[in-house]
Amino acid sequence: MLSTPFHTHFTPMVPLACALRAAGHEVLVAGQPEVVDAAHSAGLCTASVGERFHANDVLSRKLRPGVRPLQVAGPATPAMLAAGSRIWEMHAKYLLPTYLDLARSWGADLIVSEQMEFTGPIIGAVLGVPAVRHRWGIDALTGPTRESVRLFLAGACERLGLPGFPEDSRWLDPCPPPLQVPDLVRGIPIRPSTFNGAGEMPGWAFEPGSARRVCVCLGRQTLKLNGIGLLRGIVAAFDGLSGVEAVVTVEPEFQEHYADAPANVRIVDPTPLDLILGNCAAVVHHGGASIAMAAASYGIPQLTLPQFMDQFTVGERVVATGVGRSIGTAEQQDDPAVVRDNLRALLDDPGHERAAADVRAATAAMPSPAQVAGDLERLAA
Amino acid sequence: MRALLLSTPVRTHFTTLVSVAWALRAAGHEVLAAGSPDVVSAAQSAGLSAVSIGRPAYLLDSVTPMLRGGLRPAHAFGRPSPDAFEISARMWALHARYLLPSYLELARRWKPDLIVCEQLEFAGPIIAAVLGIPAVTHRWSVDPTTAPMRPTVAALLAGLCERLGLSEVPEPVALLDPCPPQLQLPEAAPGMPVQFVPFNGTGSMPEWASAPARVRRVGVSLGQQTLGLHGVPLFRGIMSAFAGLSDVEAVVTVPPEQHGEFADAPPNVRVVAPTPLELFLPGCAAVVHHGGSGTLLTATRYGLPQLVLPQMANMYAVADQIAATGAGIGIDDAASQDDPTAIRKAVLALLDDPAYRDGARELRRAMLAMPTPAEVVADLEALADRRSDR
Repeated sequence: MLSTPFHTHFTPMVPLACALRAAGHEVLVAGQPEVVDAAHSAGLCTASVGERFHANDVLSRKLRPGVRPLQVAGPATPAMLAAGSRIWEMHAKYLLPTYLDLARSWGADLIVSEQMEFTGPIIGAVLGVPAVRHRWGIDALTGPTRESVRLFLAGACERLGLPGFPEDSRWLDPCPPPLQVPDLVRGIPIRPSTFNGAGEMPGWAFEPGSARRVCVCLGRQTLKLNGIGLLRGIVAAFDGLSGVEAVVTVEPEFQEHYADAPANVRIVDPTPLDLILGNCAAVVHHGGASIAMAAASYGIPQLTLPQFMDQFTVGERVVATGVGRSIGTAEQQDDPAVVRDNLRALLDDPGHERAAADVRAATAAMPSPAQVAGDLERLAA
Repeated sequence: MRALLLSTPVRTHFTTLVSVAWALRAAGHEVLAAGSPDVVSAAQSAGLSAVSIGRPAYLLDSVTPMLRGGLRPAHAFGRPSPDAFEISARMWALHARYLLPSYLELARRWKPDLIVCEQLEFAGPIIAAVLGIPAVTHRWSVDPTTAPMRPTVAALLAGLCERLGLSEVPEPVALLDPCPPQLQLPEAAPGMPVQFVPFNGTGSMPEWASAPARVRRVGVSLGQQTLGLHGVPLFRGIMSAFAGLSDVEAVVTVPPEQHGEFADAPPNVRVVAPTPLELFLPGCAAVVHHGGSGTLLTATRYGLPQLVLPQMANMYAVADQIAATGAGIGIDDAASQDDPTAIRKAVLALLDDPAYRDGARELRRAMLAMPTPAEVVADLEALADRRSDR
């Protein structure tokens, strides 16, 4: 299993990895230390390849203090998505020889790679073993990057004796069809996971709560990328919302900024979503691929506040399917009154609840990772 | 379906449950572990969320006082007598009594459809009976304890069960058994077979393990406890057993802070930090271990001849069974374990006598013929459904 060096790029493949192991197969995750950490946290063994990537060198390089990416770049266009993904094309060239040696010496029968790890299909083609690519969820990037990947990796492929970048890989798609970006190559459906790490169940998570609970989770990057003020606005939006309580996940180092949160807001350490979402009536997030899938699995309406890259597409698909709402501009995201109006609409409009229930049903109808592991077994046989 | 995993407070007891937990999750079920902080950290290392109940167990409190003067458990206790299992039964029955109220409260709130517990967690079947759901117990491996402990455990838990409105001390509806049938003790009740999947924590493939060995490699892994319980002379003896063996190298797992103790190991002995077995046993020709269940079953899965040096409790039965199946050798008396000549003779026999390799391969074949955890999930689903239909 191969992944580019982001925890969240790797994590969507965890259920499949566990399913393969549970079916008696050997699984080895290869990647940079970020991937190694993510794999170990999921109970998987690794081959560590290369150095730590230090994502924030890339993500925060142009940011002035207090300014978040959205305020600099605005909502992502397809050209921006392609440009932003170029880094993974370069990554593929650098990592390919090491991955290839490893896959050879370990004797892999199947390569599974996440959607931005382009080495997977190449290694599969060179070794003559099947390679499958695993989407994160709503896949905004494959379309805009396709041409660029084909051109940029052609030389590397030719030097390995391939006619070009192998575009015939099968896809695994954890996104229920209605939520997925239209016009993508159809993938083998695999029920999305709600796994984003293991943790301890906090006591409050058992309490059903007297009010409707809203989970607010902006992922691991948003606050680091000058998003403290954004989250302060969101927290303020809950002030006076009667019958509603918020559970807001915040890394301990940022919690001091939320000491004055309204009484109906509970600031908590990052907690696995599958321990929280079961008791929530709605989710507020940054348009992360995995949290959108988790909310879909639980049938919970979502409000997205996208910050960069594919997060805007997640917001668009959430709106298009009616499972929730999205606030796309920095000014509106920063206005507690706008956020509050959207929260009210999210909780009170039965249309969202119905649409979310439909998506949940579509999710539940998808084959489990265990079933997909059986399909992959036949593919690799 | 929701499955609650319960384990006594020892990391390696919990690890028994990991592959079934993964299989349940991969099939779309929810899984939650519960136990002391020892269990919580073991669960999280396998990517499983957990509820912390109670305090750390400090189980070595009951072992270390008997080890004055540098004794190892193998010297101080040796092969367990029937009395030892009796004492152990009392201890774990008491544990179950103390933990049961918290487990039960958790189970009432989280509402599992199934309880999966390891062989010493006697609270599982009781909670399941109170909730009207099935409990299955998962053996660690060779199981000399379940049957002899049962009468004592049942007697000690009878009052508790009565107060909970149960007419008898409930048994699990199934006993999952990862042992190939010929490896299990003949007197142990037959279980529901489940193929063992290696997991003893995570790690990265070390450089030395990614290259094929030039000589025959012997993995030496005596678990997390042996060295800390006055095991340094034992390790030194094992290492010196390899001195001068020209076409054999040993890889010995030792915590990094203790590598200094073995600076004078023979040149063909590589002292390495603890490494997940699945990353280096496939490149080995034989294994020396202490009879821990995880090591036993991982070595079995890779078809390796095994030298078992049991240190306490059920490890002696592991040594007996490895010898009985022809897949290896057991050296059970502490003095012989300390004798490098005896170790060298046994290691060379494992490497040179094809009968051990054949025996080990036969065990591997039998293990791979068992249903995988993924396949066993269907049986667990059926058990839970049957109950919910009543």
